[in-house]
Amino acid sequence: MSIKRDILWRINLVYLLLALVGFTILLQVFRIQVFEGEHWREMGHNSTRIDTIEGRRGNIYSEDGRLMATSLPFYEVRMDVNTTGLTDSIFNNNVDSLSKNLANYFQDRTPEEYLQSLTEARASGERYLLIQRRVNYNGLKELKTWPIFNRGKYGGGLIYHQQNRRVNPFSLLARRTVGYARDNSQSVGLEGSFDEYLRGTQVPRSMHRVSGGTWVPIHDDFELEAKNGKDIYTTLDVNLQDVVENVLHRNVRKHLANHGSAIVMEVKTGKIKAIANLGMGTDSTYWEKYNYAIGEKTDPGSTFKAVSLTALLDDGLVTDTTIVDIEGGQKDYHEEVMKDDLWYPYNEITVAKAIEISSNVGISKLIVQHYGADPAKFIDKLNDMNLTQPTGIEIIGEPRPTIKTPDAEDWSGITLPWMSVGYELDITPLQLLTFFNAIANDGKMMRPYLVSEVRELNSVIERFDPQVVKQICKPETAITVKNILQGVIERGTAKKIASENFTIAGKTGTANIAKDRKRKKEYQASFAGFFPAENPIYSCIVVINKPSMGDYYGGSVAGPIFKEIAEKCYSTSTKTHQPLVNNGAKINGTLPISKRGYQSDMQMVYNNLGVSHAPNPDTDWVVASTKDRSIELHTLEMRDNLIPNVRGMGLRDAMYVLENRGMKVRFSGKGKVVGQSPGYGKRYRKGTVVDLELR
Amino acid sequence: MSTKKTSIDWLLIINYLLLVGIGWLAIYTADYNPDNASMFSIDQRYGRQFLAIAVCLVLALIIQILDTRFYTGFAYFIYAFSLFLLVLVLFLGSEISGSRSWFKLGFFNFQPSEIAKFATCLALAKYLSTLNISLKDTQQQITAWAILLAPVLLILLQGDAGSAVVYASLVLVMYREGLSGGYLLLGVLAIVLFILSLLQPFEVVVGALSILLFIGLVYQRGFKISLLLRYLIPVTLLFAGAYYLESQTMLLLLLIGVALFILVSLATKRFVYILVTFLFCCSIYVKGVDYAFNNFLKPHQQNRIGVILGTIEDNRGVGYNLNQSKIAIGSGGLWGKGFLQGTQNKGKFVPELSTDFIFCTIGEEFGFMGSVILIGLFIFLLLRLIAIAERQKSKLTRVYAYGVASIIFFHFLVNIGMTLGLVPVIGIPLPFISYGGSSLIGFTLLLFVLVKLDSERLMYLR
Repeated sequence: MSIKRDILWRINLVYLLLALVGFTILLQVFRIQVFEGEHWREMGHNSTRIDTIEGRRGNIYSEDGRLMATSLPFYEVRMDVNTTGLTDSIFNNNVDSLSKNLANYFQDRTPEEYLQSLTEARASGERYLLIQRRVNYNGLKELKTWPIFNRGKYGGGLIYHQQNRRVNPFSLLARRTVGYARDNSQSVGLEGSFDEYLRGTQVPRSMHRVSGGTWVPIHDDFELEAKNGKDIYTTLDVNLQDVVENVLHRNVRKHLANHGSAIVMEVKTGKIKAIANLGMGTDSTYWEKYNYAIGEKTDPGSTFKAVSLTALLDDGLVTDTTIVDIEGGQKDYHEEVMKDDLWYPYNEITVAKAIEISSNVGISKLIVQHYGADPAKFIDKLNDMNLTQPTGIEIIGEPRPTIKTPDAEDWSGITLPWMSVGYELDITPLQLLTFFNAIANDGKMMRPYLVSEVRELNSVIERFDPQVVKQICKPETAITVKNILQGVIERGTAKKIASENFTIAGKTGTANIAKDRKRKKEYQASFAGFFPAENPIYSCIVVINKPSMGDYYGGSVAGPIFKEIAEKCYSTSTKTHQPLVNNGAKINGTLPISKRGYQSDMQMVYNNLGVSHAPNPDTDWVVASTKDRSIELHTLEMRDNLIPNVRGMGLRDAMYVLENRGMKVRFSGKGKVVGQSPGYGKRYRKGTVVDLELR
Repeated sequence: MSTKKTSIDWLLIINYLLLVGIGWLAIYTADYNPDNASMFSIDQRYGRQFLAIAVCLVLALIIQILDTRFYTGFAYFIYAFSLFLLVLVLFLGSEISGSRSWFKLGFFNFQPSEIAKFATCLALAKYLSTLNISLKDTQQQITAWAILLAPVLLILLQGDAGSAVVYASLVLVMYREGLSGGYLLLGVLAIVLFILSLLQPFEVVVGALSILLFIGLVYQRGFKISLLLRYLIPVTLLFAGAYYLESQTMLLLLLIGVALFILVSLATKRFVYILVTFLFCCSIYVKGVDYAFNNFLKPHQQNRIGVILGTIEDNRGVGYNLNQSKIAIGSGGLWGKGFLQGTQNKGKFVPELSTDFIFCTIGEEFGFMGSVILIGLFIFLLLRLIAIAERQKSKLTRVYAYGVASIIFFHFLVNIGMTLGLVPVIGIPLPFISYGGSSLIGFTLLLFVLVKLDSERLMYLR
């Protein structure tokens, strides 16, 4: 009986325990969730949040690999003054020198102030003390070597968070085309259109608030690492871009234009090598306000005659020698008068001549004569030449050309003749240039493009190759048009811009772009063409909107800009030169002076120049001396523990020699080493600093 | 001997399935990855948990197919094998978050201490159900303790204190099987003194204890001056020592004192000396706890205990965890924020969310109602287990059932208790809910062997 009672008592105790625990837990859950729920909810709201961090944005490079836009990291540096690894003795022994380092480097507070803030923070239990908000990479590297901080995160409490700042090393160069990435408004340029590549991945980061209202990330390392964005390699050539921008800038100021733009395109590929846009700001200065070259469509004016010409020739309706009567430069179309801009003493001229003198009457008469019965055929022809389509350039915001069709409501009797000379239609400079480029390229139209590669960590992940849009006309047609356009420079409206060094083919344009053309005169001067005419390498268009200093002709406003750009392109681009004939010419007269250096480098130079010299098999580093008609190479003496003589070397060689021996090099100037201190023959130890003077 | 009549306890199985299902959902929301949102995605914890569940269901089936004699007959063999694994893991195991308790098997990390719980339970049941075994017998009691403590020792060597503490729950089983209630009382006293020794100075704790004992003495023997002197002199010495001596010297002297008074009490058989011996033992314990706490426990363990006791205000370390855990659970309110809607979950503000702090996801997203359902399921499971235990004719099954109940009970209490700030943070999983294949397999084994043993309760009398 007692055993039974004992067991029952034990069982009941077990049940009791269970009930007690269950009840306690339920009570606590009730307390936290229902009774204090609001409190915890609010606390969560106030003390935790989820941020996102983003990988570093990719770079934008020019074609030759120069940085046009990049993100530089900077760091917010904080300190866990009470980290477990930082004992009192370590802290007290080193806090003085840390304060000194901080004060020395940042120069914003005295060592005493730093010391005070660090010791106070330690005393008050601070674990997230702000040291500096913006420290650059070098600063961070330096800072990591200082006492306490060199103990790392847990031992020294060093905490830093990376942030990025977008920087354009060439500041304003191609600013609008490179573009801006903006979070709160529409991004522009390549930054906008390639945002998806450039942008690093975003990962959430949980933050919580500690005393003092600072937010601290909770997790030290993230499960998902934010990946950096990819790099964009553009087709832009920094040198050409610089030239184009400078020339354009000088000229828009000269003509006090509203805005101007210029594009240089590589004929064979459609690569855009330079693109500049300058608009007048409110204070009459010019800056890259808007991408006019790509985004603004206007009446092109006479440059469009090249299109009409191509249509006529390609459809076999005329030849370059077909005669047209320009009727003294004036003709009525349905009571609208078409006039030539300049009066020429001709009536009957060839088609070629009509283009050369840019006769409105001549071209419009031919077009009306051949397409007047069925204007749709002309529109179809424009369509065939892809002029009704946008080019598909990577920049967001390229409009579609406005080309009316005969069945449109606003098509009138005068639409066709006016269209043939570049009115009653809107087209962007880039779209027109693409056409001229196609003529230069024997009728093969290339898609213009700005981005050639997308790379990730230096490996190409996407390549954009030149793309043929279509053959827009027969190659013979293109050649004829090319020849006629060459005549424009040789004999026609652009006579002024003929170059002595190379030939240019192109067409001037002077369009009255005022909304009400009869009452107001607002001009747009343009020139589109390519060079060298025989074997075109670059095509280029220059458009100057509303020049206001009196001169507004395409030939005299836009033409000279074109010429200047062309000459600079021609002189800076090695591709346009014939290679120097290698006739193995020996150097005559004086032998080149060479001093000290790396033997194989020097021999390579001598071999290329055909200088006779005696190789020295004993050594890598040589001193050269001239003897008779050849050069002797002597061993450059270098002894252990003695500083070698590096005078006469280039900086690269000098640094190689000295730093390989454990010395440190500081230098000033450029050129060859002319002075070294300490001088040669002196003893040195590892880490000895040698100052070099270069000239 | 009897008709072949088996009956499976379906209530238990349904309860199990509900818990495992809830666990899977909780892991899904705790580790939710929008890029990989399939619940079966093997790259994610929820996908792997699903796999573990599938494995467990197959395992459960196999357990039912095998003959019960496999478990009863091989109980010691299984126990020996699990001890072997525990030794092996000390040499071949990989260290994961500070304890060397895992075998890395490529895809799957296996923790033998999860299986050892089952093996120990079974071995203990087998031993205690042997004919003529009684816990009243010292020799046999020692054997029972040895069965219990061998795995504890090995697990402690792995550095996994949390898993080792779980075995303390098996004392409850031994109590049910006749272990003296004194052990439980001693245990309670030990816990109370432990807490007090950390909260109050030595003098206060021992002072209070000595007064209590003196009252007991007077109650037993009546008040006499000689008694007072016999009691007061050693007590005064004790306090003088505590006041003037260093901890280590003091501990040494106390040990000598204890030895001395044991001899004296054996010689004189006076109750007062027995009490003094007991007081000295308690003093050693209190002093020892204080000393061990400051010298042997790792800082994070000190913190965990300190935060619960309120002696440490720490909002970045352990206090941070507890605070975030309470924020997550508390912000769920009455009805919760809804499945996958928990902001605290998403931010992973609570560490080890899908393992140790899994209750936070349920608290936040399903609120008080969800918590009550989960806790209810556990309580029901535990009650059911005890009921099953008490309906057995077979002593083995009864002891085993008690073992299963105790282990699940302990896990449940400690795991949910720690997320609510009732118990110090001990990293043990919530059975059936927390992420982890080893743990799930371990608990499934524990439970389904019982289902099998119970199903044949009418067939054999073991």
